[in-house]
Amino acid sequence: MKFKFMKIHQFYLPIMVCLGFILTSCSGVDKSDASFNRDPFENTNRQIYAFNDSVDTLILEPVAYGYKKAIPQSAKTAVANHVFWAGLPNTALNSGLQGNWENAALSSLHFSVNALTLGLINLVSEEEPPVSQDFGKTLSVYDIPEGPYVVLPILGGKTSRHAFGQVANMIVNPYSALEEKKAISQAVSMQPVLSTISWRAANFDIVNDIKYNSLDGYVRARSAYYQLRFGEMPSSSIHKSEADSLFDDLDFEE
Amino acid sequence: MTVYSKLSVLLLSVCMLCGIFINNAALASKTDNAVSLVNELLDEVSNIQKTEISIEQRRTDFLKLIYAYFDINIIAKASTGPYWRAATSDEKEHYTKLISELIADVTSSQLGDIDNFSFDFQSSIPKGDKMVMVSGNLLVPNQSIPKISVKWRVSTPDSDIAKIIDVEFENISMLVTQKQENVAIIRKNAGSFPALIEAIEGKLRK
Repeated sequence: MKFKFMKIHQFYLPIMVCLGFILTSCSGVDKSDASFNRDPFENTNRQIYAFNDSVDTLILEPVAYGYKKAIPQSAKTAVANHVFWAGLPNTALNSGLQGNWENAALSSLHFSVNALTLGLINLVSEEEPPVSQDFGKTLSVYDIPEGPYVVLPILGGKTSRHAFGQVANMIVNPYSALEEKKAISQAVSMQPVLSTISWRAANFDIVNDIKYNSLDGYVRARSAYYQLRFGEMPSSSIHKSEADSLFDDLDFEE
Repeated sequence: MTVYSKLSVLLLSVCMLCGIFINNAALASKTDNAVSLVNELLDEVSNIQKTEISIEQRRTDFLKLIYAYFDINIIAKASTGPYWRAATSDEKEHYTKLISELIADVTSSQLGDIDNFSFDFQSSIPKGDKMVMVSGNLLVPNQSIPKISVKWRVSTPDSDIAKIIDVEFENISMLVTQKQENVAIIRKNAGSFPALIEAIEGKLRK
């Protein structure tokens, strides 16, 4: 079995070094005005956001619309299942690194059993499926600061810790390292495209609401990202959300 | 211990027990009111969605619901952060009217033609003395996301008053998001509250 780890490694290494630099250089961000101090590169980020917005309008939105309207619900569910299944090795690995052995075992079980159908059909009848984990979340467990908000071309806005973790996911995913098994290898190469279209179609109205109904789409997208990501973090139950903090500070009487 | 002091201790204990009982009863009443409010609102929304009416009429109906079920004064204040204090009373009044219209506009466009949904209630938890969080899942059959986690923050200053002040969909608070947008616009315009009013008016005209 040949591993193409080195090829991928060489390609992503410069990106990781840059993200690592951003992550460490901005670790001392003052959190007193979190929503603004989190985004020191706002001007550049807004330009990349405008580019991503154009790509979405020209390519992704029409493709996702067609996918949403033309593909039967059962097929869309199968694709969503497959995308979720393909991320399970990463979930298992990261759950292990976070010390969440139950989730690691559950995701390994789901991956092994559903491999029979390449994840298209969920053969495991569990009430609670494994919770998706990634390197960004693992880094947060080890108290690595989230770093500034960065908008990446095509990939969108995220914290630099999350972006760094996403690149690490691409490199380390054991599923993507297999070169011999052509079927799996081809399925892997389709992952980013499939998952992007599937995600955009599933969140079609939400994304369009941000694009067309907001006063400032960039700020709304950033706010939604931070809140959504906070809810996904392993430590979210012990920290206050932005909404909790907002109402703690609010004077109801005035 | 004399009979008098024994009676005093007994009386004090009874008073404390009564206090705890009354407090618990008030909290229970607040949580019940909050859950009823959310259920009533969803029934009303469902009725509007099932009726064949024009988009304009639907928007008007939603606006009525917002005035009836939401504490629009708290929403207006919380959604502008520190700039609320600096605004004049005319600006505050105008903004409060506009933000209600904006919510009605966004709600009617987001719900679109969804007319078949249900709310699977999960919990209602008091958050301090003046707020209750009602949590559950919105079940929308035949949609790409059939189950959406929803949390309603209900303001309960008294046991007989309940008004919604925020809704969270999948951990995204509508109020936090609106506040961050509003503050960004005011900051971009050197702290001008009227600039925010102008931006919302522009959005509503589209």
